[in-house]
Amino acid sequence: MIVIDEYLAVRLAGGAWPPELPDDEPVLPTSRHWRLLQALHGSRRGKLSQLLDGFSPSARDGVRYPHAEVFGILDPRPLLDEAAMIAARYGETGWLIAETLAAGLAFGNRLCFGSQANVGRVVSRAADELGIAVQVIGPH
Amino acid sequence: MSIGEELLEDRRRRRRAGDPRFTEADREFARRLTTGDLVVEFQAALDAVSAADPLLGDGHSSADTDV
Repeated sequence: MIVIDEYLAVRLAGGAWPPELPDDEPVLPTSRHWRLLQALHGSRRGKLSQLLDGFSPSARDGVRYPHAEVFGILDPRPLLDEAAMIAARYGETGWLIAETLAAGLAFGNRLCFGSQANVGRVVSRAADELGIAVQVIGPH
Repeated sequence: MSIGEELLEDRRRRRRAGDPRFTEADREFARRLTTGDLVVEFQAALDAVSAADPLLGDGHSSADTDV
């Protein structure tokens, strides 16, 4: 399995598989799916809610319930203990960063992002220390 | 090609084809969000969700990347 971010999840749902992405089963951490879902169900005044209004109702369903053959959602339960250890180690992380790093450790010591801007300072530093390769596929 | 290889190739093809619920217009909109003219807005919106949700926590925003 290959751990991806929100950018790559949306790209894959849209049928645009980047040639640089490893030929493996992509999975999105639950916290990153949660970010998309919060927007989808949140206030219409929210930035992401307004943006996601650009999708048709059937595509919005595709965001709510990702097609299992396109990408999966990671079960967070086996990752929680390791994620909590990472959160304690790095101090300034919440669930998003801790789960992402724990997932990267669990699945091949690698993370694939669709944008450099979505990596963030803490993930960059912690991934380096934890020996996780961060691959950015997309806008730099 | 063995039956197993054919099945794997079918699976790979479906995975790369994307979600059939996405129309052509949706596919174009997904492209704009992730690699096109809406990338900055998409990132700002993701950061805004994180900033507003204490569970997701701090330590993430696009501004962090330059530190």
